[in-house]
Amino acid sequence: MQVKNLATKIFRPIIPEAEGRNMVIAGMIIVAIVLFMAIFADIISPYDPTKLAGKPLSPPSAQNLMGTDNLGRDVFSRVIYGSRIVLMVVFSASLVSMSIGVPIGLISGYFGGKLDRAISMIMDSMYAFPSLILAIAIAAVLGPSVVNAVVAISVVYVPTYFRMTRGQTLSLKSRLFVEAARAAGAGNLRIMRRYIFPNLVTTVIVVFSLSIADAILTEAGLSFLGFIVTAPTPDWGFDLSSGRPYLPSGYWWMITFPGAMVMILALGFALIGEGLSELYAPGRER
Amino acid sequence: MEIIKVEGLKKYFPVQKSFLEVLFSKELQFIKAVDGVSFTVKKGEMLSLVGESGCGKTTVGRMLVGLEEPTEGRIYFKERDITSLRGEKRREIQRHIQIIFQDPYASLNPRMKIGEHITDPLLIHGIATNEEAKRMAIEMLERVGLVPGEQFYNRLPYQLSGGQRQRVAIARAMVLKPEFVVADEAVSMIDVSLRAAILNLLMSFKEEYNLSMLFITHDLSVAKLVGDRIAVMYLGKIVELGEVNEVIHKPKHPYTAALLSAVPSFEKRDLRVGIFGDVSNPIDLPPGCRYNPRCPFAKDECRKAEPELIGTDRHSFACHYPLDIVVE
Amino acid sequence: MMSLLEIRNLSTYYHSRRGVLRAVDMVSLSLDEREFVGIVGESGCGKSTLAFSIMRLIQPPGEIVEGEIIFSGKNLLELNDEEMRRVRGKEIGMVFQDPMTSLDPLEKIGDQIVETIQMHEDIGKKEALEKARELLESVGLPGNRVNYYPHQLSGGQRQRVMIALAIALNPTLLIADEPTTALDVIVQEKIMNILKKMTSEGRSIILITHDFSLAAEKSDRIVIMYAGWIVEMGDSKKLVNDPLHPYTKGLLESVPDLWLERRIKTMPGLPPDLVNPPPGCKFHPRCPKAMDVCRKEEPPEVQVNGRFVKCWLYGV
Repeated sequence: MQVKNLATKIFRPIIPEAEGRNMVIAGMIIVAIVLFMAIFADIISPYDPTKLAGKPLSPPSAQNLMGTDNLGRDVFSRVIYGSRIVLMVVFSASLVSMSIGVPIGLISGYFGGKLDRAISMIMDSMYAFPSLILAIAIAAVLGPSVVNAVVAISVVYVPTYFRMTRGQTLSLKSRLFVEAARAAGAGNLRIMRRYIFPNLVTTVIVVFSLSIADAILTEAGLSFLGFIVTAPTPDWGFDLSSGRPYLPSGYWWMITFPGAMVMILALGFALIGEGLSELYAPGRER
Repeated sequence: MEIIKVEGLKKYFPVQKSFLEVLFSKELQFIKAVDGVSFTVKKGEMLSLVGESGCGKTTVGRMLVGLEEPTEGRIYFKERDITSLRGEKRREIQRHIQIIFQDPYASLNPRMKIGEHITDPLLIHGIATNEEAKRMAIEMLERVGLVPGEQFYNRLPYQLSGGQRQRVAIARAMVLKPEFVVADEAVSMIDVSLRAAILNLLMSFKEEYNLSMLFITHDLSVAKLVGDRIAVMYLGKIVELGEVNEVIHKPKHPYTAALLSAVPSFEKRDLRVGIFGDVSNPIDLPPGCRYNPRCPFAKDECRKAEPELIGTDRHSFACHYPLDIVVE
Repeated sequence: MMSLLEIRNLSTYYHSRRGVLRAVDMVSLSLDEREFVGIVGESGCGKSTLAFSIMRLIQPPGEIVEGEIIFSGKNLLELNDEEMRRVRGKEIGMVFQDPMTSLDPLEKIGDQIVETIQMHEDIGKKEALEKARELLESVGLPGNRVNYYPHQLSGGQRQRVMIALAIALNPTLLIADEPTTALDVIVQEKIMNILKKMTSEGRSIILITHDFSLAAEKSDRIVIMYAGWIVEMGDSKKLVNDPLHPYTKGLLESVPDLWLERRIKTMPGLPPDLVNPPPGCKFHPRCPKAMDVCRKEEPPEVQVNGRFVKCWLYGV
């Protein structure tokens, strides 16, 4: 995932001892701020994001911290409200892909055989597509709506969870403690539930935050292309596309702020994921 | 009474081939890890199975507890053929046959409490309710020397030392009061000063439960200490089998004698039976006796006919020209 | 006679998050020419750290904090890195437990030996290769093994290659750190005989092992280490027949032995945590003969019948 590398590159030099813990804390602060914005949007934002709040296309000022857009709406308020849709979409989509990908990966990896080969083939072919293109294709078929965007994005990330879970299961199932359980008479279900799954949890959490980071970019892309919301609903990706025609004329603030928010939020989750994976890196367990 | 009887047990593993070999070679090759092994373990008896790495001793143990399927041969538990039992029936038998592995760091689930490792077998076999199981687990932990059991119950494996973990593994195997236990190199990874404690613990269970055990080890000193009888394996076959003092003091097979000559001791005996070269390839065994390329006493017959394991219950060996030596 | 190696008050610590771990704690030891010394102890007793300290191969967070290591008249701890590099291999060779980690899997055995020789000696490739053959033969391998890659050899053969590499530059001291732990007894016996033979060729050997009976059988002198200390040291036979330190005695009685008819005795307790070692004698919590003074004060180092022992039982 590109975001992950970016996070590592940016944050390593700033925090000299950029060990996992610092990265997780930095990421959590970012995510907490954005969450706070989304929950208390009504209180924080100075204006109604869909109503006229000043002269159209006025630059950032004391009245309009991030300026106004072509319809005179306050960009700052739209940025705050815009966090709601993206968070909702990526969270629910990631939860859905996790709850599909993890069990399938577990079963597929544990039992192996023909079923495993068939499922792996399907998942790999899905994984081979760039995530945004696959999401666009699905969203285009389903039609533009928030729910459909959730469906599209969750389909895209199922293979990520599947591959991770299957790989881990393959290595875990030949570990000695699993054999010990089998020798004690434990059945397949019990082995998966008590011996394999608990050892997957940390990796699932890491993949969860990293795939959210990636999904934020995918969501922004879909929204940019108009697959999620329609005017006048505020959403960062969507606002990027409505601000784009005005950039050549020098009205930079319409796209800079929503764009920066997409970056920052993705970075936040990437930091959490990277940091966690460093904390729980294999070899540190003992 | 015979608890375990093994007849003509074989395990062949297919050799992993490279892509090119698959393309050009017709024959599938096999590593003959275990190649026709027969023995019995009586009630309350400890049989030590010794041999060098790769001789197939661990595979024998794994087949006995059902972790590996025999290619050929039969395994009887109390005269009942359990070789191809599966599912619920196998699980029923499994309760009476347990294993203790070599590596105490890998044999415990890093995410499961110590106590749960011991309650789990009880719950699997429906022997106890949750509360009973917990009580039994705590008792068991204290029995193996992890006192106070209450405290150890709630710890995680990483909080324990290697020796303590091996005690947990022993507790897990013993909590079901099995009739037969395979101990696979159970002390090889334990610190020297703690080994004795683990060995004595195993012996105490053997006495208390009148347990039958197969003690797999590469260390003849340990094999002699714990065993009632010793079986020596070489390249997938038992070459000598008999009562401990018979095998140690009157070795018949040149391989046994070579092993005895090489074991370090505080009071080394003047026994110098040599051995040539390295272990033969288990895929492509030599004709005749599989030990003949390394044997200083090999004659023509040894290169032609494979010797059978013959003799009495006290002492049997597979050699055309057995040694006639006594080591005091 | 001047001893080949003289270690005085050597301390090597590891710095961990929990505090300072005293892996080697004020150890003094000397080694004569042609002597075969076995250093015996459990994992974590500091025996490997001692070996790595002699080679100056201690990496951070480890650190040699004090002491002297006098080898052939020079203090190794005062040499600069370049001088020390020349000592390694050329004057002191080392063999490790796992030969696979120190052999390059992609290079032929012969080339690896040649490389080592040419690094220190200015001789042609052909000559060096001839020397490599001789070296392999001296450790009981056919000379044509120079054309083999490491994976084509068995574990025992690889370990013999490692010994050949270690003696390639004809060092006067060879340190073998658990050289046969991963190997079977028959191969172990062969390798030990090779090492033993080297002492008659003028080399000194330090064998580091957890196997008391192996050390007793092969070495002239035994050093028993416990928790970073040398607790007893002396002639192998005398030490085994009449152990002075309670730890030595306990260890002897707890080891199963092929030819001794006896039950083994359990040694109570666990080796101590070296970050927070017990006060006084570090062995006192496990010691059957512990006295009041053992719990309070570090035991004295005394000579009893020509043997070194660090124990209050023999104190003043």
